[in-house]
Amino acid sequence: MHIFKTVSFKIWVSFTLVMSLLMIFLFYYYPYQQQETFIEFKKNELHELANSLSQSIEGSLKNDDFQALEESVKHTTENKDFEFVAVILNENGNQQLLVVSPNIPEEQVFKRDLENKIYESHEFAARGFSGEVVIAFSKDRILNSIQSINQPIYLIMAGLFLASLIMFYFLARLISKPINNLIRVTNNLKEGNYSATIKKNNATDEIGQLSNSIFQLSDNLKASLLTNKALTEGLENEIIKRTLELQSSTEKLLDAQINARISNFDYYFDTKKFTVSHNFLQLLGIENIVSPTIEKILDFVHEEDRKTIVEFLNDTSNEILEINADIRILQKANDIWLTFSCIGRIILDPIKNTKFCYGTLQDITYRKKIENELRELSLVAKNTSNCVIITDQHKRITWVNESLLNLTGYSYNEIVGNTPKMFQFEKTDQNTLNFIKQKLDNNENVTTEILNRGKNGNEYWLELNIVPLFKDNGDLYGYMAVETDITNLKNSEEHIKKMNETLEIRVLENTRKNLELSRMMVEQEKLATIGEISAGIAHDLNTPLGAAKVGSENLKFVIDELKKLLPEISHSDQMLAFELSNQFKTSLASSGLQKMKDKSIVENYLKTKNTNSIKDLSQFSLTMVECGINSENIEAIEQILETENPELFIKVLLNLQLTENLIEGIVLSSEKASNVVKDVRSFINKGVSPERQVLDLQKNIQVVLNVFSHELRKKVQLSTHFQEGLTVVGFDIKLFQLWSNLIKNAIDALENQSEKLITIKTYDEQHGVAVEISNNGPKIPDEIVEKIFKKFFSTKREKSGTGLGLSIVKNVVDEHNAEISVVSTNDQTTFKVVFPNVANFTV
Amino acid sequence: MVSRFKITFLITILLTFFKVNNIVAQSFAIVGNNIGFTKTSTQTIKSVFKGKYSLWSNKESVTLVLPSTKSSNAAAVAKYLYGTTVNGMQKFWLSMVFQGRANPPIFLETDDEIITYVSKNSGAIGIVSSTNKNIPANIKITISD
Repeated sequence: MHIFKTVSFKIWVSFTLVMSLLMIFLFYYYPYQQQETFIEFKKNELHELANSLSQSIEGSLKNDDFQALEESVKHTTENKDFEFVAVILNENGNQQLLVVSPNIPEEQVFKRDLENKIYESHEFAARGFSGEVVIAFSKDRILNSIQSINQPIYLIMAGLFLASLIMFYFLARLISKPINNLIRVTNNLKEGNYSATIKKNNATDEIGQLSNSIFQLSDNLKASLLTNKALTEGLENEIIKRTLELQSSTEKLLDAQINARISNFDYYFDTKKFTVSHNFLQLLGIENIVSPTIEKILDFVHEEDRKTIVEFLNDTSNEILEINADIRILQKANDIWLTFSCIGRIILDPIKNTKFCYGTLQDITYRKKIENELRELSLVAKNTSNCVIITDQHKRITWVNESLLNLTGYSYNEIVGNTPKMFQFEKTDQNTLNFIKQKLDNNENVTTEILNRGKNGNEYWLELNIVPLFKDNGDLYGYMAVETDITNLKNSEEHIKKMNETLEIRVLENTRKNLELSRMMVEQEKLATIGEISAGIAHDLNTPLGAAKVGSENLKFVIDELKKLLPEISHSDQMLAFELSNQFKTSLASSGLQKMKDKSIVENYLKTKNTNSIKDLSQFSLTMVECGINSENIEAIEQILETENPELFIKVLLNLQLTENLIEGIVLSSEKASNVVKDVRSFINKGVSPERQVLDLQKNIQVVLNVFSHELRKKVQLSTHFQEGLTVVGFDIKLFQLWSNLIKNAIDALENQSEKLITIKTYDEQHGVAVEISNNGPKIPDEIVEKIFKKFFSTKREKSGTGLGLSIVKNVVDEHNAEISVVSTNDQTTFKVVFPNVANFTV
Repeated sequence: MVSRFKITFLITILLTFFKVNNIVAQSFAIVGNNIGFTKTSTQTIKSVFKGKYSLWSNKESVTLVLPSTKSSNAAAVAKYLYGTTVNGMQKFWLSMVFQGRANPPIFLETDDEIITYVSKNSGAIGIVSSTNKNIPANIKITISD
């Protein structure tokens, strides 16, 4: 696009434009003129031919010379533009076509209206003949002739046009080159670059002269530059400095206006145009109003103040031209009234009509508030029972209140102008005075107690608060002291001190007692649990002991039987009986149907043998089956049949097996009883390690379950899901307490439930080992859940609940670095304890 | 007065009648120089004088020679050859010339001029009064019908 802006382009295009217009004119005008001229020429030629022909006709008619006519006709028809020639005769007043050549319709000869022909006629008269000769030329052929004449001219003109374009192009280049140079130099000069060079030349043409002028101008500018540079720099610096100062002043002014919360306003009475500073709208929180009007603003003004403003603005007497009033305006967002100091003035036009009003609005809400506070504080200072002293920076008293006058006995005038030293005397503690001095020298607040003396020698203790007073610029301008008479307090201080010492001893004693009580309550809780489950323990002990007793009695009977039978069989049969008793176990406990089936098979087998010596084969077969021998033990059967007295032998064998079974039963019952005792001992902390150790979680919980087994069997349906191999680090006795309290609470929670379910689940979690103890008891109310782990909180006070159970649980959990949580819904309550992994456990 | 008008009328009628009879009664001789034949028919002669031929059989150009309008034979010849008046003959030849259909004839005032011209120009054919005694035998064309 740059090319369109170049000088060469502009010159070249202008030349081209002129040439183009010229050529367009010539291309149009020349052929047109040529055509007109040529047609005119052809018309003349036609006229001449017509004239010649008419004369020839006349000649031929007069002189009978048709040779000349023939020549003339020939001359006419040989014309290349010839279209037709006709002879029309006037006979008896009518025109009759004599001949037309070549033959064309007669009407064309008479009408002669074809556009593509030009016509010419000429009359003749001779020897009684009269008429006219008509000749027509073809206009198309004439135009073709013109065209053929014009073609080379067009070519020449086109060539000339192209040549002129080329010539103009190079001419434009030639002209624009120095002009471009001049433009470049001029632009450089315009931009302050005076180093651009320009050749001075001796050309006398306009461009050369212009070049020389610019050369001269450049030199002059360079000279002017040098002289003006310093001045310009100085002016620029001054302008920059002034501009910065002005900006700074403007900013300060705006800041000051914003900080001082001052806004401008003006109001034109005729146009009702109201303008107010934006910060005013911001203060009111209505900056979103696009075009505030006086009416809109007045809506926010307090009704009483609005009346004042309206009266001021509507005063037509021109008596009130200034306003200086505090007005209250509502800040709707916070629903608070802001107080503005409104100072305004009305300007009148030359004919004393109100023209406009202007002024300022300053938010003085804070000042008003301070003023009110000061007023109130002043009242407080005057009327308070405390003494108040205000001094200047040299500690000379400038004001005191009534209370001080009453306390000291001095009059106001006696005190004002003195320093507070007037109240000090020999008993006043020097260290306290030094402390006060040091603090005040550092401009710090002082709070201390001091003993002073009044005018009448009355000594009094004061609690002293001295506050340094500073101006806004930070300069100290005085001190204010608020003094409270603590004489009575001081007198009773010693007494209180003694009371405090006694109190400490009492507190320690009570704390020790409380700790002891707490420990006892924990023990009591444990014992209460043992008491609650003692019936179950007795039951658990009684069952195996009863079984052992019955077993012993049966054993006695069997041994008596054996004493009778053994001597009746041979020694070898005795040995066989002992051997078989070891090999087979009695099947007395097996089902009767199976026993009878086996007996029948054995009996049938025996019938195939020589068993004549056996009196009651059926009983024999039954006893054999009871001894655990059936048809599959053919070898044993054969051995028995081979004894001296198979019936006696099988009785001995049965009694031997019974003896062994009974002894095993007694041993098992004893072990059961022993385990019950062992679990109870473990639970009550006898023989349990006090050291922290790695514990098998399932075994640990199982001990408690064993202790509670009777309770659980009797009252609830217990479901356990232990993940095998889980271990925790802890104190087994403390964990017993943990599980027993949770299980006991679960059992208690199910007291009123028709279906009582307790589920214990252990499993491995990502960060530890979890134990869940759930019951389907009622939901624990949310407000209680937060308190259940607190000491002495109990929902079972009426059932002698101590409120220690879950507190102990929480303590144990904390001791094991574990976490406990409760989730209680309408369907289920779950206590979940998560122990840290053994590997991660740290004390 | 009336008788004088009647006399004049009768004289005019008689003169007219005489003139017509005079035209009808006149006969013509054809002269031709080297036209390829010496004997022909009236019809051929009429065709020749109507410009229907431009070359003779011997390749000579046909040149027609007729008595001029000033000649006393003109009207008779026009009647004889073209079946029209002198003006009609002139219109005929005007038309022919403009159409370029034939070479126009040469008009001569007297029979002798015609005979002389024909005698001197090969291919020329003319018409003269049959009573003319100067007709050379070598150019005389016999009309057979």
